[in-house]
Amino acid sequence: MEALIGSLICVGGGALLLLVLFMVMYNSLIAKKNQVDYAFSGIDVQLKKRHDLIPNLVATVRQYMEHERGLLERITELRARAVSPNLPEGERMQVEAALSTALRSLMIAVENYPNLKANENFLHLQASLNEIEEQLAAARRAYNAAVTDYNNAIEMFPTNFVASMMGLSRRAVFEATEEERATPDVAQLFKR
Amino acid sequence: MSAPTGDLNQFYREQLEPILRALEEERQQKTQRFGQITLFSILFGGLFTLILAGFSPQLGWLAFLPLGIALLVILISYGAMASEWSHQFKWRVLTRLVKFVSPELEYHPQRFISEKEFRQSLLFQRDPDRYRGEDLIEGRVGQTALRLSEVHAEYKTEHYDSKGNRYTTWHTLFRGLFIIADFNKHFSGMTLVLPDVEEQLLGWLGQTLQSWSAKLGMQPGELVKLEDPVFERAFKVYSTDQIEARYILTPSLMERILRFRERTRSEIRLAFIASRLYVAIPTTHDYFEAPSLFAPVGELLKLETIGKYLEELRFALSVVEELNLNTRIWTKR
Repeated sequence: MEALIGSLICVGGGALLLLVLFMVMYNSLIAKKNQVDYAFSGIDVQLKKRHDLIPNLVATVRQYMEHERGLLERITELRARAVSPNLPEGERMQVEAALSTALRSLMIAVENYPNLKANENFLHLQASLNEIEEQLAAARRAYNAAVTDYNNAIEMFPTNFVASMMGLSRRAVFEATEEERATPDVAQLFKR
Repeated sequence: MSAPTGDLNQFYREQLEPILRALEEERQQKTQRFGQITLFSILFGGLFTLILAGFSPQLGWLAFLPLGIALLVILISYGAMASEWSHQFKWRVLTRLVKFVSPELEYHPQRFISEKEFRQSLLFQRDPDRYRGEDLIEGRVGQTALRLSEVHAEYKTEHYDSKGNRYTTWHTLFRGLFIIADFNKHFSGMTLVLPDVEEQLLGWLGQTLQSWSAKLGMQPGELVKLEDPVFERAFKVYSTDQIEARYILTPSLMERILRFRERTRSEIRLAFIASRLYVAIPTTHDYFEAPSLFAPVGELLKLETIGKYLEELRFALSVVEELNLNTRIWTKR
């Protein structure tokens, strides 16, 4: 009888321990998953700020940059697509990447317009854009760090068992696109 | 960093040399006077001792009292002269040298970064019980406002022996250069960059411990894991905001901090709090110290002597250039 009680206590204690372990792992995985979503919203905030800035920027530079009409129209169009509510998530990031590239080209093209570079309003907008791009880069890196943390938890022993039970799957990190990685060819821009 | 405004040789000839000559003369007078004081003290002290010992041998060791007083006089007069000398040198030479490096800088030999500011940096886990400092330099380097000084912060521990006697031991919390500079970006939170001992010893387990210590409230903020593996091995980063920490610590700034650490050859600590940067560079070297009162004749007038101070000054101010604080392309001007 006593042996039976003893083994029952052992089994019960073991089960309780397993339950607690499961709970800890479950909660830490949820926390990591939420961290990823939170970090993603950090990117979103900066993208929205950039959307707000663009009309102002385009309006300011338009009167100076006669030869960049095409580029400015492209930026306006990309922005309109980026803010439209019924854009699929995957496509949205592509549009934003294209917008980043177009804005970078614009900032290089500015070098051809000394009058513009003396405009106080433009300088302010340029600083704001630099600020947003810097914040955006930081938000992306924070997102990538959160995703790496999450992916590690999903693939590492023993949390990987709990993660597969919860149906969690790997998330992809942000990677710089080919265009972003390449250094802009400034000489090419000046030839136009 | 703004380049020195003129040629060192010209500045030396026109401004420093006359002052240095006068100082050198004063120094020689001082050492001469000190020699006289020493001679007379010993002579009189010795004489009285001999007289006392001769006339009343029952005095024993007490007969040496006059000699003791003589030694005390020598010590006190040395202390007074050395501090007067150091004061004169700093006021007349170093203030000009600081102005030469940048006209926008001021030098205050006796002032220092306040204990309050030292505590505000959150760079050290405990508060100092004794706090001293000197050689405050403040002003602007380019667009960056900064203040720096030497600081010596200590804390004490007390223990009792078996008889109940209390012993107090003082430990150095930090000794070296403490710099507060205006950072080139706006931020409202707090980010700490501290030397990483745990990870160097324990690898990923160390990182897990750090993460837990932040969660348990032993460190303010939460652990920030950064991408640069070299930086991660050298430093641990805690911040109140994961995104803000990365906004401040860009890949290029991380590289610059690593380079600055190599240059200082010490375990530097950095705090970014409310748009300000706090840097603690531990060193046992005494910066901006006057040359010895008993330096060889002419030593003071050598260009190398001045060059040494200039080098120390430029090193202390190099943080602005090394960490690229004058780049103002973001919204903060």
